[in-house]
Amino acid sequence: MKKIGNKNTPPRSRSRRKFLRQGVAAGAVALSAPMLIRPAKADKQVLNWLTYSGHSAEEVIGPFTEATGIKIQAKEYADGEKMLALIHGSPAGTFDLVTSDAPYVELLVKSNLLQAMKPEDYDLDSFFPEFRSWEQHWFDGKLMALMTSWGYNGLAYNTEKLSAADVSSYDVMWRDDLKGKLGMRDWYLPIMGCISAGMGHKDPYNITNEQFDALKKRMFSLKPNVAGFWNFAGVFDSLANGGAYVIPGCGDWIAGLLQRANHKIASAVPKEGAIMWTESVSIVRGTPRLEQANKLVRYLTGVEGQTRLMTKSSYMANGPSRTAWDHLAKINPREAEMLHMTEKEDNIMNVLRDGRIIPRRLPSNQSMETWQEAYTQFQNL
Amino acid sequence: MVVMTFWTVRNFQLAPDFSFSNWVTILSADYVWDAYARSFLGAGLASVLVTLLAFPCAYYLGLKASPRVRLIGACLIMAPFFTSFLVRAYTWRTMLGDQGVINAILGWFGFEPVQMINNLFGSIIGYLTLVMPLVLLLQLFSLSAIDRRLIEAAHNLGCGPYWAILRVVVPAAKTGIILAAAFSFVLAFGDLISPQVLGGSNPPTLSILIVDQVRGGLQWPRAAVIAVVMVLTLITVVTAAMVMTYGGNRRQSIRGKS
Amino acid sequence: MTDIAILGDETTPLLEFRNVEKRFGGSIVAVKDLNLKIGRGDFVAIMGPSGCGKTTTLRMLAGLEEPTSGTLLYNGLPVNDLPAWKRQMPLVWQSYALFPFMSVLDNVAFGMRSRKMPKAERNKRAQAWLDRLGIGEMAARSPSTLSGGQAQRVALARALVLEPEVLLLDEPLSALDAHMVVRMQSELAELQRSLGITFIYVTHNQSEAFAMANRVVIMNEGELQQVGHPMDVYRAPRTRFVAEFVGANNIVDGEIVKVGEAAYVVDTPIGKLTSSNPSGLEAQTGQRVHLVVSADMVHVGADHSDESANLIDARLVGESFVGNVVTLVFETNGNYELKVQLQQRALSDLDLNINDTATLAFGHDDALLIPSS
Repeated sequence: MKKIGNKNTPPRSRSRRKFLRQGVAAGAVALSAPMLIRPAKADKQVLNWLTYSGHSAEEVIGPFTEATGIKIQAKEYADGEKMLALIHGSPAGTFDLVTSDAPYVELLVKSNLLQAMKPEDYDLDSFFPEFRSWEQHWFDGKLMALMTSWGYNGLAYNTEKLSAADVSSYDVMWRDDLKGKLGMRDWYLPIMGCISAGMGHKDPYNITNEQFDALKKRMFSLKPNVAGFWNFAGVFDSLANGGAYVIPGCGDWIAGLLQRANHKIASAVPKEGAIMWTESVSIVRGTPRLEQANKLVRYLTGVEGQTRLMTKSSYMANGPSRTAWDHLAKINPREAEMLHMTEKEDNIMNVLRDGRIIPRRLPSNQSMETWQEAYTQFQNL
Repeated sequence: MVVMTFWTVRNFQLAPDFSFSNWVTILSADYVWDAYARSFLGAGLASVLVTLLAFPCAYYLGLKASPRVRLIGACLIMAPFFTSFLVRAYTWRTMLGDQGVINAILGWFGFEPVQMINNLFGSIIGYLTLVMPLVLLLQLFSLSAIDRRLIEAAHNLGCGPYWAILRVVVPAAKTGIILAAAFSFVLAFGDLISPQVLGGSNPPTLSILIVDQVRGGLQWPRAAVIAVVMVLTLITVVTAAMVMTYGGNRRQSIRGKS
Repeated sequence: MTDIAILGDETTPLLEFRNVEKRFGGSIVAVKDLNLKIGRGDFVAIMGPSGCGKTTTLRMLAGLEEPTSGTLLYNGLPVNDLPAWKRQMPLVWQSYALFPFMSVLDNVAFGMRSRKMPKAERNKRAQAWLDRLGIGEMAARSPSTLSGGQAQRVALARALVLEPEVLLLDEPLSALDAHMVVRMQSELAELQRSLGITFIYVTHNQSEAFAMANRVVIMNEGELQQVGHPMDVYRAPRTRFVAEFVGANNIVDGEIVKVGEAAYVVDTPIGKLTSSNPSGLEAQTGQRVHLVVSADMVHVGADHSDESANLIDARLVGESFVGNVVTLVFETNGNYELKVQLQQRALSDLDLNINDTATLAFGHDDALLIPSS
């Protein structure tokens, strides 16, 4: 990217300055129009929450509103990048809380958008130890976010067509008999992460340019098997109706939903490792409703909120809370089984501790646009 | 939107600028031109097909059916406007899938499953579903506005029913037919749902590229470049359609005065 | 003309309606039990008020409507089921129905396209007809740029270029200016004579029909009223409807009180009138009849001694002028109106003013009897 947009560069001409000024005005209108959000009301009993879709449903936050009388006014999004656009495109004070992917907490902190949280305000003892001090949440010794949900993106597969042994490695995706039966998500990030992990990269998003070129080549060689590139609904439908037998970038969060509907679908963490996805809640700096926001964070990280986030109908999730893990096993053992939240040897915490679920980090050597462009080329083959 | 194509994005933030880098990036990318050709041909094929498929129905309703049947027909045509296109697209997806109704029927006759989604065929089915009601209505309007005496005159001059359609009905309804086709091109060219849900983004169209540009690092400016290219294309196509519709007549009258 | 009339009476007429009936929607009767023969080379005018079934009759000939019952014969063969595009009976439409998306030349050549004629030949013939009708230079124009008279000629050329045996015309002059109408009338009549083909011409305008046709067919409410030479129909209407429709007739209701050798005496509200023209009616004493006298057969200021005339005293109450013809309206004792038509010159000789009383006279021959309806 060129540097002419930098503040230090003097404007080149009058007309250019005028052009920019008009552009800013036009751009502001263009950006704000589709994202217009009602500004925060003076009402202390309403919290404005920017979060992933499905979180503000009655099934998740119903008990919170009932117990505290605080209403949730949520703006929901479907990909992390949209969240960044929304929070940057809205006037200050629009949101009281924001739920984001853990890697993006860093970006929000850099933009000075978040309020530091006091660890003692929350029942962190109920968390598994690794989630109490999650590296991506702490900056200069300050807690900036708390994890609410997590899961993995490995392989989802049709158990009638493939065995657990088949999907123990990402190599299954290249199998000739899966021509036209390999599904893809339409989002580059989880798919390319899986393929990168499959190539043995321990930090799948931090690879050299040579490794990136090799990744592209490896990914492109998958194309003959690819049936299509789908959003969430398309992935769900393709797994349910035999349109695809295996899809990377999926995990228990979607396989569990399909199992609920009695489809023969499971998900697996291949031996090369799966990509971890996370959702962390933060408090927006300067909120006049700090106390209420803290109540919501406590609810989301507590037993009731955790259990409901885990089993919600939009997508299932693992959680950081040990207490909630035990609670779910008691009240709903079938769902606990689906989420691998059991006391068995292969339970999800053991897999995480084994290092087979790899936390996601932002790409450092290439820009996100480069990754996206590679994925577009892949689609276009 | 044009202004935004000159902006840049740093750290997920839009910055006003005057840079041609977005234009260079997008216009020099092979995949963009592939997607352009694909979108153009897909939308073109859809508008040709929908014109041919809608015509017999519009002809029957507009010129043959009783007023009562025409009214019922027009109501049925408008019914899809009250359902979400997304719902209709997913319904097709279920029906056309490997385990869908159509392949199940083919299976009874011993045929192998035919792949009907996640390809161009699926996208075209989507486009047709999207534009069919509008094209039917526009054609119906223009056909029912034809002076029936012209058709009778054609019969009277020895022209049988099929030739009369070709030589009189189609030329008389030309404006409406071309307008409907141009509309369907515009709608199909910009449609995101059909190539995504039924075409499986495999391969992608321009509308999908726009979405991906925004997803992969919030490249609104690059998305705007593609959008500007699309708008220019649509203006060209609609202008060409207008010339086709009205240009012919003007030439005729000018020739008459010479 | 006499020859043509004989041709029309040949044993196999060119066209024949045999008990033809046309209903719309099951109940509306447009044409009732029509029996009509049309001869080769006739110029037939089908007349009647709007809704009388004349246009439906024409459309049945063209094959654009199918008779509900009865048979339509062409050269002695039933053609009920023959579709319009196989009949070769071109129609000149009231609205011309020119194809607006084609040039004038293409319009005229249109009918020849279905005959697989080479394009050059089609265009040559079309151009020849345009030239013949005096609009050759309009060939490349769009129909929308033509005047009414020009469009009319294009419509004619489009039909005649097919060299048909029968040409159908549906009120073709009704949309033209008055001076164009007169000109086109003579052109059409001349065209028909020179081509020698049958013209079937539908109109509600009596003067148009009488100016051109050698046979007129008068219809009312779907029923055939009278067929004949225009002059015969004019002079000898067979029904009260025809008597009223064809012209300025005086119609008086009455009862026959005496049947003489060659004359009938009819008692009417304006006195006892004598008629020696029963026009085929087998009149009997006591029968109710209409006594019809054409307005131009009534004389003003007659001598009372004339015994071959009916004499009535009446008072002049009004007058109206159409061109050179004056219509005087008189009122008789019983408050009956009598119309008299005469040349304007004759009026000035009379020296008659409003409210003057005069004696009106018409010959026994000119008093026509038709049965009471």
